[in-house]
Amino acid sequence: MFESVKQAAISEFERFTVEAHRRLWRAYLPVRGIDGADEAAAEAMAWAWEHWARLEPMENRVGYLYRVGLTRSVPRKPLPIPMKLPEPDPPQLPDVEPGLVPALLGLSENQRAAVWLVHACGWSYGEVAEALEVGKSTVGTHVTRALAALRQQLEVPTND
Amino acid sequence: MIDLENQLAQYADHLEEHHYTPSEAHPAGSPRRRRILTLAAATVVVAGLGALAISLSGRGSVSRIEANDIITTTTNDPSPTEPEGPEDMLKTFEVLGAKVNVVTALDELPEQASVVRLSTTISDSGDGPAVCMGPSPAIAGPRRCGGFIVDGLSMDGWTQTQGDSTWGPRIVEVTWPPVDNHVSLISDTELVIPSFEDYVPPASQVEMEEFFKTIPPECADITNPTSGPALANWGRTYPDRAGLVYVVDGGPFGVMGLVGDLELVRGEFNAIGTEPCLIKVDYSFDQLEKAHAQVGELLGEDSPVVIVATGVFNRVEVTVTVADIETVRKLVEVVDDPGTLLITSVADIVE
Repeated sequence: MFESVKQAAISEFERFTVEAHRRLWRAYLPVRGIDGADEAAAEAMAWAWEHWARLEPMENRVGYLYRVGLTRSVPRKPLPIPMKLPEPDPPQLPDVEPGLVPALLGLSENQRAAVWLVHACGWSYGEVAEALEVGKSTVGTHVTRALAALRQQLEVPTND
Repeated sequence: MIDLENQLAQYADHLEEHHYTPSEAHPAGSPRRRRILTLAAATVVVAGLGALAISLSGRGSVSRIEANDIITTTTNDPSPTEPEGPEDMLKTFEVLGAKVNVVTALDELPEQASVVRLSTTISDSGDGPAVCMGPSPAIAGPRRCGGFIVDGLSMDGWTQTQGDSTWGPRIVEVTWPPVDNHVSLISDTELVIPSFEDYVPPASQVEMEEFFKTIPPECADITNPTSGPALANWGRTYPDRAGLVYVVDGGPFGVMGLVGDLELVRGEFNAIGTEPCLIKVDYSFDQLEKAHAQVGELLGEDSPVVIVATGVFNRVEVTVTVADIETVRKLVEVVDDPGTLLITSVADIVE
């Protein structure tokens, strides 16, 4: 009985790992870049492995790990400024504005993280608030201002 | 023209499709796992000696042997399921005031290790077999695959190849420290990836689980507990006094570590109608943050330190490849209080 319970716990962790690593990697992209996202996600998952007993009962594990990964993955050297992300390849992404990436990277880190987590990662305002350690209303403000700034930068008509 | 929100999602999908490597497919995945779990066991030992002594007391003991202001040594009682043998002896030393966790058969840490054992992934770097330290357990040399080269190691028979990459798990005993990014092989053996329960001693798993699910004994009589968020808010307001804050069993019962006068703070919460669960800890957030920053200053230099984190155990956790005294001294010298440091060694010190 005990063994089967333990095996179930292991399986639960394994299942969580695969999905959480992918979600965290994606979430870190606009604040850490490609390489930094890889590292931060690895750090977060290492912490999760060490502290699974503590993490397991949490409702928003990935949101909690988001902060952990950022804290633990201290860059050896300052991140390059401006941080770079791959430009969209027009043939593969014909609907994405070519100027999206520089406009995104031009946002403040809080705005960039908030708008990315909400619209690129599909996180709820509550999940983002927990991950960024701010209130939901603050998340809303960041997202609204970020979208406005992006539209202005890209001269995209508003959806209203 | 599609809307901006969808453009962000499409771009994210594109990046994930073309740049994301699932964690399970990473060559260093499995070997890293073993090390991480070894660290988990190590952390429990130190927790029993430090900030979390309330719940974990009795797990280990510290005996002090004065030797040039170096204090040693505590041995973790091996769990019955842990592999036996000197190579698996996890010990906690106190060196120059800092706690050091290392797997070693030695009774004292050497000034500088001369032979170490690494259980890790080895990859073909093109210049020879290179140690993959991984982003988490790393020190001395490039991070990830492409660490120091192991001279004399044959990669035949235990590696796999995908595309241009060849790698495999191996236990290597090598000379230390690296010279011009090279170490010499003394011996190598198969690295068997054990199952989960072989990694973490069940006793440690249970203790960790119970710790975060159990109300501290001194708070057992509390009937109207202060919530975790309320304690966290107080802690953010007074980072010079608060330390560890966590919730029991997912909440709402909160626990806050505190330096200084517990009764004074208890009175503040009692005045607003709640009973805080307060436990004494050694260091405040401010103290840990300061030590964190001081150690972090080493990061930009040619330093052995590559990972620093302020953990839940009321210490600044630093992972190094080899925690010999020379390495520890570099860390201790930059902090005001060496007691803030919990240093863990990735490699087993053999000599």
